[in-house]
Amino acid sequence: MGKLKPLKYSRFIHVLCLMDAYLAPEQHGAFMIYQSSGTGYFPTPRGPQCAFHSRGKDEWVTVPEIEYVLSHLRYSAKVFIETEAALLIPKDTASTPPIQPHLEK
Amino acid sequence: MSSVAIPLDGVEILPKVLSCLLTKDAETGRWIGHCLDFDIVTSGLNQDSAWSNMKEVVRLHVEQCFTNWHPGLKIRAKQDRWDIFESLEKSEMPFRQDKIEFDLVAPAVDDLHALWLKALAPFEGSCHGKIETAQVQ
Repeated sequence: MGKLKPLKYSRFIHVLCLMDAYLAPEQHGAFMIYQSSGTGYFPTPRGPQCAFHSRGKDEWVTVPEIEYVLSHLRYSAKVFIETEAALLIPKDTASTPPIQPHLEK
Repeated sequence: MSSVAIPLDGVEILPKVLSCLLTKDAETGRWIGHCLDFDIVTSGLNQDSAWSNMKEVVRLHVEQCFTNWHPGLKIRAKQDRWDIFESLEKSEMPFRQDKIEFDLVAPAVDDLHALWLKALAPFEGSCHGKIETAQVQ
């Protein structure tokens, strides 16, 4: 198994969403992350959760921050690493929209 | 940082002074803020932003967990981080301090433990003046 490494903020958020985390709306730069999006339109705030500080999409999320989120949400580091490795979006363009096909006239 | 100590479930979950470390991350160059009492970690581009980000994250985390998820307030940092903090504290280095105020909302009533009241009483006329022995649990 590999080990955790710093990730760009957009990629970090992407991986958390793939792991079924729910990100609450931001309040003054900080927001809550819940373990599961649950069922229905709104998640329950009860259950493993932690606060996180937002940043620019290309700014780094450090390894201690990733460890903190995984620990509080009770997520497996192994699953996180494997999910990140399986993410198809290229690392340097993780937050950019997909390339539109060129339309021939 | 200081706050009012609030006992809950027999445990003082909010210490009067929260112990924090500010360190520089070698891999990214970002400054990391670590609140050891709740094992909360955040970062910033410099020491000042790491400090202000940590105050926001700690406040939001404590307020939300106080209302919705008490186990989130019982996670402490690993001992090696506390050892670093204590050694720095003993060296009497200059330190930062700031007041942090929490807007704590009690959990909803249906989240509290249910209380049951049970009473036993003898039938009327058969108590023989001993009704005071009826048990209440």
